[in-house]
Amino acid sequence: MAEFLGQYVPTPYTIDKWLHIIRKIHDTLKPFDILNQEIDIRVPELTGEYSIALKISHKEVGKFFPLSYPVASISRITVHTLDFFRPIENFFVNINEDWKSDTSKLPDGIDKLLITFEFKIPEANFLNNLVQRDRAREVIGEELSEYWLNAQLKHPAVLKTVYGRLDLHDVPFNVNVGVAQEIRDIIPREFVKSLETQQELSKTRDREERLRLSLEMARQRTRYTGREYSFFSDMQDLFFPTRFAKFIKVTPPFYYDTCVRGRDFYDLTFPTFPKSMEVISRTNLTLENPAAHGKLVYSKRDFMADVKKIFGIE
Amino acid sequence: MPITSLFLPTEGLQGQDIPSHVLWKDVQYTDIEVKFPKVLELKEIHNVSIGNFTLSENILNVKQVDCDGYLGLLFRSSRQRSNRVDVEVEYSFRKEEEYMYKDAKSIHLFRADISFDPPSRIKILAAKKHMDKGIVLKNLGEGTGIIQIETTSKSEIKKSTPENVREFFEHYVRDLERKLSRLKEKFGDCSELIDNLIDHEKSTTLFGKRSSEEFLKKLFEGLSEKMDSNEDFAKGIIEAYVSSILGNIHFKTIFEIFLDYINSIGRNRILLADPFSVLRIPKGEAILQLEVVCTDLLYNECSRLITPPIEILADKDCDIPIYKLLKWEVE
Repeated sequence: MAEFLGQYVPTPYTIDKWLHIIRKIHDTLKPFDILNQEIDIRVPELTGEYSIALKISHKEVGKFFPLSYPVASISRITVHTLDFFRPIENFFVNINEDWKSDTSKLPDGIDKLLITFEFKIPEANFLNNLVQRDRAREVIGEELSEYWLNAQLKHPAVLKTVYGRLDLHDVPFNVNVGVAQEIRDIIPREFVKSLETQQELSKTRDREERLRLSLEMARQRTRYTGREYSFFSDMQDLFFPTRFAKFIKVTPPFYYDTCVRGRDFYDLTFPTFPKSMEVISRTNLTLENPAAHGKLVYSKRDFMADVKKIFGIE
Repeated sequence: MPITSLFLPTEGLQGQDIPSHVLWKDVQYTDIEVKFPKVLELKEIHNVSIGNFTLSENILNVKQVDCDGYLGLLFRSSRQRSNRVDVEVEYSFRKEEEYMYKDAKSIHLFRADISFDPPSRIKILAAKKHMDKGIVLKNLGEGTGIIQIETTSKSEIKKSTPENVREFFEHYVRDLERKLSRLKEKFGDCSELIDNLIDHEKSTTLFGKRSSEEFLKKLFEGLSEKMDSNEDFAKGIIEAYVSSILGNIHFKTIFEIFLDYINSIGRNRILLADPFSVLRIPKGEAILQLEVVCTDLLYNECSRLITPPIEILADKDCDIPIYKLLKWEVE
């Protein structure tokens, strides 16, 4: 029965895989009296900070600190006295990818230290092991498209027990906001027809066919004729992040970060307009707030109004 | 009752993972019960250890959570016979046998549902590229359907790629392969994924072969997952595609590219995966038979339809773009 039920509980060892940096540090400092510890992860940069507050005696310092920290992923270590929050310069130095401590830098009478280890996260997949992230893939909505967003920690207990506090900053959510149908429905058919005729005319070598198409083109002359490139250019502007952002609203605790042209794998060979825009929003998670949900709202109505304006449609 | 948050999405695509969570503060309970419909299957439980929950039919009973105040769930939704269903999930907190809190959340699950109505005969005036009738395509569902159209082995009329498009594809795929291969040096753990992507691009773009649904799903889900969790990798993939396209854009005019784009979008959430291909139609009578495969935005195959044989009568030899044969109808 337990084996059967076990399939529903994700295994936390995948977290330990990326937490090995912290574990190494934690194990080295375990002999001290650990007062507090917290992990601060900056997701976009794949970097983190592990802060550990210790109560020490000079006898222990002599015994344990001379150990080196052979962790190549550590990019910086800072040490502060906890009582007066004064930095202790050059307590740790980086020698051949090893961090070595110099206990002579420790002032007399100090018994509490805050050490902050800044590290790079070596496993790119760490976020998926830690957080369940889901968002609406597609939504139904006439004038507004509301995409739900949800983030929840998979193993809060593992992190809470061993490492105290954990803050995950800027957890990303990539939502593909579909725009194709709006463009297709608004771009005037007469504009498309006239482009088709021009296209056929440029391809044919048959004299009769050329004459027929030229006549058809003359008949099809519209207010758009001769200004096609300016329409393309104005449409392209709509997909710049700064322009498209005005059609997007993200509700707290999520916030808007940026947007890029969509990466729909089924239509990558269309370098004109995107079929969707990929909107990146972010949120923060902590052990105190292990789950968050919010909404990304895309205003089709406002987007369509701007496309109509480009084509001079009332 | 201090339930601070109860979340279940209000809508989702059939086949999509559906998350749910409950947050609370200072609640005395003996168990939490979650009743869910058969459309949903429990996939994961977060913040509960084995031994602290039971699952019987579609009732989950949680005796104790690991960190107090939070229960996370992940359901797998399944594709239904109906293209839209509304279901409810019930959450309750009990102390002994007494219900202290009870609430329900509903979710609307939808999918694309493509149907077509082909005529038995179509007359074509080649010079004007005019057809007296078309194959009516409708999306009866609410989700997007991406359709891929092929001619069957029984069809006398065959699908073909125009010369300039073929030339563009050859150069585009060659450049893309080179650029994606370079990414393997930087992202060694993604080598297999990148190799599969290159194989997929070659076989579909150059040889018009359709990758299996299982392969596609595994490839694109894997790719999305990596791109979502590693922003550098995502940038690398997008740059490889964009620069391969832009480097070969001279094979097509801006008008052509725009028309390809517009012609790939149908009505009521139907997208045409390949608006470039044409049908080689001979003068006189010939039989056309098409296979229409529809996939959704989760890369799941929604339907596979084969038209009955259609008699095509053309006044001379011509190439007709496939999209020209389609007539979109909105429900």
